[in-house]
Amino acid sequence: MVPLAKQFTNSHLIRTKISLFSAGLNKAANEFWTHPEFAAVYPEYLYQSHSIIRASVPLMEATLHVCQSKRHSTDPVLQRFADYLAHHIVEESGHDEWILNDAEAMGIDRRLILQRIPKNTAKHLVGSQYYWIHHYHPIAMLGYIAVMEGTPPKTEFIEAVARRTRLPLEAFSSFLLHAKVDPRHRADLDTLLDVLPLTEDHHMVIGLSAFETIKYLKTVLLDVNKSHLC
Amino acid sequence: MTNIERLKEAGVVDDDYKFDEDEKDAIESLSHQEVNAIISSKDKLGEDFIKKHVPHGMMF
Repeated sequence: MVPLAKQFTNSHLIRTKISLFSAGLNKAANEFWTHPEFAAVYPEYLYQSHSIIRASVPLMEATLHVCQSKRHSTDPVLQRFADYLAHHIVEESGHDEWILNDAEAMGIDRRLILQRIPKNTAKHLVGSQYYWIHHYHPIAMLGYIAVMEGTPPKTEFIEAVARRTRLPLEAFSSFLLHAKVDPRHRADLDTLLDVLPLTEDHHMVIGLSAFETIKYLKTVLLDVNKSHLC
Repeated sequence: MTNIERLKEAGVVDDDYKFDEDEKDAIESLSHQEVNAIISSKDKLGEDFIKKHVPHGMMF
């Protein structure tokens, strides 16, 4: 590995890596938000988004459990990460319900979202993190969180989408609530990253986990974008 | 071979794309495995969307 020409903070390095390699995800997301048949693809988006977001708290709880296990009890990086998770789990609880509320605002019975079999992409996205944390190193989860909370939506952006698509603003409540809380969550995560004494190996695992997350999210959005054809 | 040279050779970075210094440093800090992961994604870097941060919305 080539030594860095200058010293980065952990958060700056991780954010730069994610930014550099999110071109495909950004393109797919842009195509979603400007989709000519947005009203037809948005229900599929809600379903797929719910498949992923309902796993957030259980995934963080599993990560916390591993961080607190005897195997890692003397690892200062994982103990700081555990402190962050214990706090963040509370903050993220119930966000899957916001998606179900949006579905109902679109006239979709929430039970249909809950009962529908999840797509492989959601299982791959979330399942790969379980593998990382249980069978390799729980620090990988930081890559997942950094991608998931890296581009919070802005209120004006969501309001413009609702106006353009003529869908009720109530169908975007999850985005509007995230627009309020995620900038702080992102700042909290960056603060954590910058106090952790991360090694090059930690950075590699976080990077690989982030790249996987980007790849799977892009696949989800590409799938959503063509769902109106089914 | 530098990481940027590897990415260019794999065709995921255009020869004429200009990275800024932070980006160059970040790319050269990548491990061999991370570069392999990027190459396997087949996403072309240097497109318009590289610096366009679009909310993907798959939030926590």
